[in-house]
Amino acid sequence: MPFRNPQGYARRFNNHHLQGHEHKDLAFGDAIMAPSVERDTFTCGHCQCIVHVHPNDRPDDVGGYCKICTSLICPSCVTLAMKFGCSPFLKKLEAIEHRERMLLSYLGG
Amino acid sequence: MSDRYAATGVETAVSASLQSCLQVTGATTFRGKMYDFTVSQSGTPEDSSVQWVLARFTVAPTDTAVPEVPLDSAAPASAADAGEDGGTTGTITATTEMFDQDINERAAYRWVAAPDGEIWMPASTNGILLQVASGAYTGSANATMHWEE
Repeated sequence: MPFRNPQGYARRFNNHHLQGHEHKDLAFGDAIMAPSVERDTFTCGHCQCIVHVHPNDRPDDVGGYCKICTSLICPSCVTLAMKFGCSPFLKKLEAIEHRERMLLSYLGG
Repeated sequence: MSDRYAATGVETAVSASLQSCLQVTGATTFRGKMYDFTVSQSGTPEDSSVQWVLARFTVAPTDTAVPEVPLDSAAPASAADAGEDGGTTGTITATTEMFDQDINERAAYRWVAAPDGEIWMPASTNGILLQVASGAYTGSANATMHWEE
């Protein structure tokens, strides 16, 4: 199961519980009056967005697993990968760098 | 072996428009990896929502330079450039938002990447930044980034 080992973690330090308000925090999936909360996160292998993983989340709700680049991906990239295939972020990084090198060569920099 | 650096930034007057609080601009000589950031608000505590966005830029905001502090005091000076309080300037790529989260003004938020989960900075003069906005809160906001290069 790919989501058993998400990568990083996020922590929200909160003193809001002193106020007695009840609101839902969508990223953390709990009432924001709760004290400090910690969640696992993973970084999408295709776009690098940070995804929070709630306890007992179904893998389908959190994103997906790209078997081509063997990385966890966010829900948006799952849709894109189904249409256009695997697009790992390091490929995009190379494209950004290539573009800058081309621009510098045109400008004589 | 790569070295690790930290930079802190302040946005002195949060507004309804997204403003750059802290940005790190890369260089063509290295690929940086941001592995940790923390955001918080330092104004009078109140119940309002503050939006934080982590995005990429192709043209750095006009900012106030802040020092890139090596975590190992023996490390060489950073090749990256850090800056704070860049306002709404610069060219920010909206479709490259990697984090978009509203937090209560009383709360602080920290994200830590595990190995291989870091946010990459290309070997170019592009970079990454933390932007902040709020419809109600107008005090100052603080951010810290740690990266490796």
